[in-house]
Amino acid sequence: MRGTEREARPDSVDESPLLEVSHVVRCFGRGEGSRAALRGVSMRVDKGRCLAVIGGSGSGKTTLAHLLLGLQRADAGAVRYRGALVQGRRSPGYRLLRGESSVVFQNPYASLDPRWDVERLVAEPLMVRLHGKRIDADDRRDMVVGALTQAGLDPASVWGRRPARLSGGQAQRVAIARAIVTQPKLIVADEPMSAIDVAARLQVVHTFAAIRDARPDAAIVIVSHDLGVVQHLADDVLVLHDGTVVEQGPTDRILQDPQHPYTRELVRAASW
Amino acid sequence: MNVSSHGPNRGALPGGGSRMFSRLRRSVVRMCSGARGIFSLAVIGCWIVVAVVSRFWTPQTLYGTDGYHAWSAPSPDHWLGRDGTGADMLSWLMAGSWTDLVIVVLTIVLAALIGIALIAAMVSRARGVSGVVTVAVDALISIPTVLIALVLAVPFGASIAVVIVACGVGYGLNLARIARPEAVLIARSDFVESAVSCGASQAYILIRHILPNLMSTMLVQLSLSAGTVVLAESGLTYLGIGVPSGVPSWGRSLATSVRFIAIHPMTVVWPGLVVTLVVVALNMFGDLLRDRWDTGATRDEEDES
Repeated sequence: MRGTEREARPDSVDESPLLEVSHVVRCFGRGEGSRAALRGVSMRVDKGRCLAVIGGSGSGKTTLAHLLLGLQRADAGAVRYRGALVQGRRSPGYRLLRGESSVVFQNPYASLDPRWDVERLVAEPLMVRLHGKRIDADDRRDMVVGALTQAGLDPASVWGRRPARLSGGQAQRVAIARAIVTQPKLIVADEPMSAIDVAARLQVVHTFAAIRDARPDAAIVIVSHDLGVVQHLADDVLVLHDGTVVEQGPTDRILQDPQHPYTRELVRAASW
Repeated sequence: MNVSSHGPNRGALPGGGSRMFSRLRRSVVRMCSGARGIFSLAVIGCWIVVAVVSRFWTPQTLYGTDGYHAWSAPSPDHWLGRDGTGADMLSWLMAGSWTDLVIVVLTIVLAALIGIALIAAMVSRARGVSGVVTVAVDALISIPTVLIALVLAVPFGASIAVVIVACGVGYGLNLARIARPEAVLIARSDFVESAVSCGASQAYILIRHILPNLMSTMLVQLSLSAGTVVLAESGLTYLGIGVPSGVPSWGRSLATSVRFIAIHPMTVVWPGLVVTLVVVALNMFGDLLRDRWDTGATRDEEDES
């Protein structure tokens, strides 16, 4: 299945990584009660590749996703986006990252402002990124329509609706449209299928597959615990366990020949 | 992505900015549909009209009093009778409605400004700011409004400004304290994180996401405060630190008559009735605004038509 769909994707990667994480540590709490969510994680996200981050609950997946986006600061270690350090809001890497990345969260109803309609929700990243520069209303509308269509929605049927009036699958695809409307170089999706029902999940997987194929330049990071989704979408897999990377490599190798006991357990649990 | 290929879809999409006026009209019609809506809008509407009219015309002059007719009963010339100075009750209540309107409006504006500024600091991502402001608000909120007014009245004397500043500061602190938990929840929500990840500034997030989602709580709190301001004006004026003597206000009308309640009860009943009606109407109006704002969040355009 994967081989035939992925012909157009580059097998060899660009030498310099789009995003590089080295020896990152992130702790929550202070003193006695502090708990390390990430204990020295190193990884890289390459241009044009789809990377899946898998692991159980509490393995640090979501924390890693937030770090990749610069939404949280690392307590130790470094995150570099296109070679520039991402550390705090004033760092050059942070600014680059803000302009070129986007995010899809787990629960679409929580990640879309309940008071906004679909048109405004999808247009928001455009308006924010342009920093007040005027954009023609018709152009903006065309871009929103384009993003919604690419996310697999019929713009006319969801236009003007607020999130509460959308189904889970529709809402998540609106969130995806919002993430792709600015044509980002990096898309980070934090468990985008786990808060919606099974039928909608399939739609969202297809949407991601369509985006991956339509945008060969963009890097996609999908945090997931669903190995079926990972097998369908990802080029590479990174396995997180208890805040450390236990295994990483191409999807086929990891899923067919897992080396680490934890990965073996995950694969065995999924094949049940 | 080839956006221009989606051009034909454009015609099928509903229009953008032209619905503002019809939405406003629908909101007013909806609010007038229930008994509470009719009552509160009628009372507040009358109050505003009377306040404006009193600037140009009152049935009798305010200061040309006649001591010979003090406490006289209602008559065709003096519908509500006269007070202890011989002044026409109705004229003073009308003129007082302007003073109270000014006090209520300015206090609510000041409270909203202080409240919003404090909320902005409380949800700020700058390190330390939120904690310091939260502790400061918790400490300041323990000071009663009356005490603030008393302290202000020492250097400035009794004046309308004292009422406005004391109540504005007190209610602004209250507003921030009550709205804080919800504001913090919104500030940590995924949709705010999502806007941050687009590169939105803190001011943008406050204005576009946090305040609109906080508005129902703020509307209720501010409308309660508006009712309380009317009561506070009466109370502070009665204590001698509110509206100064000789300036018409409902509190002043009460203060001048209340000592004679056993002999001339109606001179206290009229201003008391006006204050009660307005306070009840303001509270109901706040509830209606909140209901209207809440349903607006989940309703679509097609549902409202």
